Amino acid sequence: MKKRILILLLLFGLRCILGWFSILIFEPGEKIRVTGYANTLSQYATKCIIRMNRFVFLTEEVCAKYRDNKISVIGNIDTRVIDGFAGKLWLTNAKIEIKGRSQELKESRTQDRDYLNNFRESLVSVYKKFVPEPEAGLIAGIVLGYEKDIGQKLYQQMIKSGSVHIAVVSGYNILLVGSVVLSLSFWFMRRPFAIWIAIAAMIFYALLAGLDPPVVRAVWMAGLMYLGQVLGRGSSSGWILTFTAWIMLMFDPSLLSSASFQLSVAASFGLMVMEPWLSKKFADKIGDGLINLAGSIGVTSSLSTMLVTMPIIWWHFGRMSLFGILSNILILPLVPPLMVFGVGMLVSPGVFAWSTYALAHWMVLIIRFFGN
Amino acid sequence: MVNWKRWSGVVGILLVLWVWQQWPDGKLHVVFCDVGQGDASVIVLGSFQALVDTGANESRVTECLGRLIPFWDRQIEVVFLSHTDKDHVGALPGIKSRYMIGRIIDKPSTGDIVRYGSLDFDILKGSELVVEKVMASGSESNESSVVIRLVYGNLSVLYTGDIDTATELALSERSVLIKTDVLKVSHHGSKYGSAKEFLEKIMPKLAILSVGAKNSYGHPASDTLMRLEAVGAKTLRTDKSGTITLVTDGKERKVFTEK
Repeated sequence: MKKRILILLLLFGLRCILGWFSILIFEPGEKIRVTGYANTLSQYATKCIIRMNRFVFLTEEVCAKYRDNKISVIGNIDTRVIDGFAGKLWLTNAKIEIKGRSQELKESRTQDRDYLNNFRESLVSVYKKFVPEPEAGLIAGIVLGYEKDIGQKLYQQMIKSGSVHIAVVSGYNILLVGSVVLSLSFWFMRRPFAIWIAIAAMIFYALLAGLDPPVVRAVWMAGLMYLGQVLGRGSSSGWILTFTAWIMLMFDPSLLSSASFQLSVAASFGLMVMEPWLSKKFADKIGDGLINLAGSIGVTSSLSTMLVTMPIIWWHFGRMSLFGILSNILILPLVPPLMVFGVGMLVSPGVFAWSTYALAHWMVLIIRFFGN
Repeated sequence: MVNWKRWSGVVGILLVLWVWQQWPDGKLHVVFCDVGQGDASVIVLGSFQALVDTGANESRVTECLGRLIPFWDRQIEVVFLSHTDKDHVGALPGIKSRYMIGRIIDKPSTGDIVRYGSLDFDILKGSELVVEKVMASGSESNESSVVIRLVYGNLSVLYTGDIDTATELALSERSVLIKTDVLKVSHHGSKYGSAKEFLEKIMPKLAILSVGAKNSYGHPASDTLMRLEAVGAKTLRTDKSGTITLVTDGKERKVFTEK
């Protein structure tokens, strides 16, 4: 194991050095013009970060302005270590000029987005019809990552109680979908087929959740881990997780500094490595019975996930409330069954509506209690 | 990851708890929802629910309805609409997409009575205009507001929509107004409403002002608040107190506020 990790680290180091060499042909401060379409547009508060081929630049304008537009950028080369490892260069003092609009590209993308949005809205309407507010909005947030219908008051209370993350589709949700579909599929088919079904379910779920970059990344991560299991590496989940993270970093070393990547890896580590270890330790200390009960209602998995994600949240966002830990212990175990019942509601609303509501109402009461 | 038997048990226990928590208490609840700048009032008696106006903010009014109507009941028996302004009816499509609505009463006639058991909704003024000329400060839409008097046992509540002084005076002259316990102050406490003569006819003990915090209209006007105080009415505002709830068994009345 140690040898394998050392080899991976060595290869990663080589990758970084190669990336760094590839940018040495540019002089820091050199003025450069690039023309084309943006590969990615990421909005951070009032700033938009645009990536075009190997160049990354920042603007105070909203990202929507540059979507599907041909742009020309003039800026000065800036080399930053972590992005240099990825073979990427920053352009400072970027002046962006819109050259024109690709109508065809825009129409096809808008049409795809509209189909997806309409489909999502039609699913959300099922929750609205069968469950009262604010529970319906919360269910739509947890199951589909649809935050729009969560009332302003409840949203504020979720922020205060440290539970707002449950309404955002993350690696945690993707892993849950994968593992629930996997455990259901085992009843009907053999393991390799069940894993393919789980991967398909995760991709479908990511589509429903709007294909945000962290969600796509989580699908990659969980998908590769399950593929590892198909290939007979199911027992060493720690190794598979390391290998998966390594593959993703080989593609883009700058992910190392991304909070969402760190959280995805940490959540997966918590669920797949930390939870079995923690359960064993607790079982040795306080006995099997209590730990089995805690495990079956998801307390140990929530605790493990929180233990590894909290320091990252604190590092990036500078806050870690004790109330947040308590409210999360009371809320997080309900997320997996709520997701299962919530999906069941989309298939048969009459059958699953009340059970979904029962869990969502508990969550609302906890959020209100800690949020006030 | 999900232990089905265990979770079915947890869900069963929670459902019993929530049914017990939300089972109707048999008393009348008249609730003035905090919907920001707008009007929305929910009336609940047992399994019967009525709504007087919807406000404009869908999320706020549906959250208010969610708190008042048991989760298993997805029907509102009757919705009264005072007039067509957005701050009074704007959230209706959103409510329709969530609840089955038994009846929408948007253009009743003066003298109509809508009765549900021992609960009476007397239409003191229908949607027709009762003034010959709308004042420059008013609007035809506001003056066409329906005026409803809700009566249950000893409690009476007057809903006035957005009527302004001209309509209030016309109603005062027609002798349709009698003493009323609770007044939903017209037009969010605008200075063009709640005329002295009108208030002296109804002598409310409690005046409810449904207004948005820091609204751009300057509602409620200080003149209006002074006139209400002059007739001895206690005032409660949704921008300060949040959602306001009156509960009565027909004899005693209790008032609860959210903040």
